[in-house]
Amino acid sequence: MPKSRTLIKNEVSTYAQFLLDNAKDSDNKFELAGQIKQANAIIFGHPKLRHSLGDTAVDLELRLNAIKDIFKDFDPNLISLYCVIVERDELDILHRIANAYNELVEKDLNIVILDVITAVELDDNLRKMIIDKYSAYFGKDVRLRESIDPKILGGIILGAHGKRIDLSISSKLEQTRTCLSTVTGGGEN
Amino acid sequence: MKPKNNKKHISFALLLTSICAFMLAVPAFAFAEEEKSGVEVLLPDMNEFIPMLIAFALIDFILWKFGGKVLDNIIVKREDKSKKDVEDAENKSIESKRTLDEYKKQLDNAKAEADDIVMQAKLSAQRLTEDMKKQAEAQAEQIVSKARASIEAEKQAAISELQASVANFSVDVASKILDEDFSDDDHRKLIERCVEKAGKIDA
Repeated sequence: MPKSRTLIKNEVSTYAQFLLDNAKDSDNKFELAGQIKQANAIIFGHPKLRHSLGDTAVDLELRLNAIKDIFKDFDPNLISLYCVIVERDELDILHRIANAYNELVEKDLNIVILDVITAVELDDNLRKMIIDKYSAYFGKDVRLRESIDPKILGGIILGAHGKRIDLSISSKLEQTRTCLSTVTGGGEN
Repeated sequence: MKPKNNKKHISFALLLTSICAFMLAVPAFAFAEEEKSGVEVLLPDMNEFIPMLIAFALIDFILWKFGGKVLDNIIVKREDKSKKDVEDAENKSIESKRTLDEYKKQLDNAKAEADDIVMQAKLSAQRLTEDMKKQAEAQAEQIVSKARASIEAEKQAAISELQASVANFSVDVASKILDEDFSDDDHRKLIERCVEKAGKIDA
């Protein structure tokens, strides 16, 4: 029987609050937000893993062990939470938990978490430049959550509060490809 | 012919017949007499003449008295019959003429109807021909339009395919150049320019 939206929302809030309450300090809280994002990317980036974790035909013990093995370097509270999620077959709400936890951390630490994706590692000048610009914009301290993805070829992707600006080369090239593919005959009748 | 004239003729005929009958009835007197000579030959013999006259008058009277009415009736009947026959013939002639006129009229009507039918058939055939011609033209136009549309679609598909190939090739070349020729510093300079241009995230 499908759960109601309110019930799911309450569940998500409870899980997110659990992680926040059990975090040691502000750094751990911030780091945990990155780990949730990373863990979700691993699970949903591998369809077979996602399917296996949600398959009730597979022994639960095996699925829980898989979670513990894959995320052994992650925060123990996070691993415990993921085990509960797998046990209750609620993998679909992982993204909501990540977003809810982000909001809680931002509120708790009075910061804005800015996701930054680049093809190469940022240097300190760039970090400062980005932080200064968006601190002024949001009126709060900004903490960068960096990740490197060579697939974007160059440029930068910035994201916060579930929204993003894509200034990557791959995106520009894709736009160019679409434009070239859909351009009409150029005056031809 | 008038009935009075007929009666006179009939009476005259009866008279002659009576004379002949009387003469035939008394031939013995003629051959029994002695031979005459001279003028006597020409003169009637009273011995014969008087009985013959009496016989004639008697026969004439009898015929006039008894046969006249019968003959008159026969003649009147024949006249009536002749008149009736003539009238019938005239009536039949008129009837025939009227029938002929009717037949002619019917024939004329039939001819007019036939002409009308032929005319209608010609018009129908003409209309049918025109309709078929129009239908054929429409079908031909439709076929041509479909063919044009098909050609146009194939042309567009070919153009799209070519454009996609060119686009993919261009992007692949650009990606390759960026991947190989861009140093980390180049990347950072690009990132810097992007951050400078970047606008509001919430927008």
